[in-house]
Amino acid sequence: MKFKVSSLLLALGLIFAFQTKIAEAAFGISPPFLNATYLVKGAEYTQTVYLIQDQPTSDLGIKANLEIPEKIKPWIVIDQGPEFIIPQGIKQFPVKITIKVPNDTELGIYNGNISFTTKPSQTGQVTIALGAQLILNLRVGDEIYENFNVPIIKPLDIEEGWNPKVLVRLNNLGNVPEAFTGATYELLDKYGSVRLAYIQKTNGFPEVPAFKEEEFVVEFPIDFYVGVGQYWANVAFYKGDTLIASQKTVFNVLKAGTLNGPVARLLNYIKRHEVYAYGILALVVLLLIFIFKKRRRK
Amino acid sequence: MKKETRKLIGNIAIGVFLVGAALIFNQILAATVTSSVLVGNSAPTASAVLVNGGVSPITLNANGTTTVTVGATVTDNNGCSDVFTSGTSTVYLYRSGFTSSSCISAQNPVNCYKQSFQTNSCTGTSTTAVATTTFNIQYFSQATDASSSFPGQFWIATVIVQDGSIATSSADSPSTVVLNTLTAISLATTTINYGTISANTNTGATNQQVLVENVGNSSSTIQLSANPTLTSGANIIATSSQVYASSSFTYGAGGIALSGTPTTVPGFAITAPTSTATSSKTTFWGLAVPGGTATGTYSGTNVFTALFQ
Repeated sequence: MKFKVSSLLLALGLIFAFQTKIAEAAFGISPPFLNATYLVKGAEYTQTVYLIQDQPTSDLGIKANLEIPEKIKPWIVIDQGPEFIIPQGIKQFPVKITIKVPNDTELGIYNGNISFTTKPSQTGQVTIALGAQLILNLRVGDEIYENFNVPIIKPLDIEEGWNPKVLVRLNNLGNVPEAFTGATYELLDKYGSVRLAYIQKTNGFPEVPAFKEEEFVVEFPIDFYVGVGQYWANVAFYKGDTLIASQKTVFNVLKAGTLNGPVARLLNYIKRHEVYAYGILALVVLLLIFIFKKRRRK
Repeated sequence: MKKETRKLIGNIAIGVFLVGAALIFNQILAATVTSSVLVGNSAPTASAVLVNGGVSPITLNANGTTTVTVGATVTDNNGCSDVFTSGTSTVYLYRSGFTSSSCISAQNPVNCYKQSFQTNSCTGTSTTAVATTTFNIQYFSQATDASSSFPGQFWIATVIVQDGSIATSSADSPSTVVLNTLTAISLATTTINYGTISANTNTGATNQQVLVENVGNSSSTIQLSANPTLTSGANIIATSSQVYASSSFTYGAGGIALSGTPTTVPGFAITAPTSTATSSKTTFWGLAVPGGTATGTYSGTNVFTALFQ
């Protein structure tokens, strides 16, 4: 009898346990704020926020609701629109919020929020829907704000005879375009101990627009042939006299044709040996004209 | 033969003898001298350390982990196997303000993780290899974005490589990768069931409870609203008939009437979790059914909105 009572209690306990295990999936937002406090007239600022869920077992309907001053409603664009669906299986769903400040607006501070609400997955007496709120803090001013960083400096593998190349990513967080003003490239042997070349570059750096992150390749013209092998590169980028970022690491010089096909190789040769190559090309063109004219006379 | 001629031949013979003797002596020496060289140890180096491929920010998953990779180039002039076979590699991933020395001393998933490189491209006699490792970052790891408690800080990696001769060196990733704030909640239930309530009565001291768990990395509160309110066909129970509070109450003697407009629950702050242990608070609910309400099953939706605090 004791066994039966304890079994019954155990069964009831299990039922209770399973009932309390029924839980709403987690829902949230990252980051929960959009702080665009260095906007200027005519600026365009985009931030990606992620709607986060932990159990993406089915499509999830989302409704966005803006609670912001009427005046700035036309400035704000949600790339997904006011209602959208997060597809099954997606834990982090990106939503791009773009602020387009008109040229004729007044300077000022504007606050508000955007609420993202899920559609409830259950039916019952009172079902529960989850939501998450994005806090908006906007400020339109007229001062210059400079702020940028360089997350990546990577000397690229190149082919023999090429100029050294460096991949750079510049993240411009400020409200004015940014560009480097100088860079140095120290080419070292495979042990990193003997300097083979030192190149200084003072122009030809691309400009990254305000509030944008861009990746580009900087080429360092060199006056001697870099043969196949492994080398060290010590690269530094400057703005004025200030060192912005540097990197010392290895890269490889590969056999010609490894990275590019024959056409690219020819173009690269022309690029490297401009004078001779254009001369040869001119001679070839003259020769072709001569042959063509001679045939026409016949 | 003249005397001078004989003398010349004699000198030549002596010269030939001396050269021959020197060659033989040299051969003897060559046969006995062994050459040797001691190849010294070259300390390994780590460079080009990148967190999350240099992509910022890191966005966390709610109530779980997020994978973050750390990559580096490891060089050892004695061969990269001197590190990856004979030596060790240690990678620390941490919030910059916590400092590498603190992280090396003790790890805590709130702000510091430790691991070895899991993969590397080291083969044969090559001196350089690209190595990577993946961290599983918890949802409560500390944010470093603008409105967090650590603005201006970053998540950076320190790589320490050691070869078979115990020579070590280290390198840090650039300070550019931010970890974003995550505001997220999870509820212990998906519905609120008041049971059967007669018209012109209320739930009295009986409260329905909804446990709200903080599953992000920020201190959070909630906003509550109804959308839509309780309806049964064309019949409606007013939104304000539902009442909530952050502690138990008796209907009519406490609680806040629910509204169609999201309203922040006063005094309801759930601190950011610091471990997988639950950080939560409970909301308490009651309902009144006005006199004259038609019988039926009424249903509606209450919205719980997570709010950064």
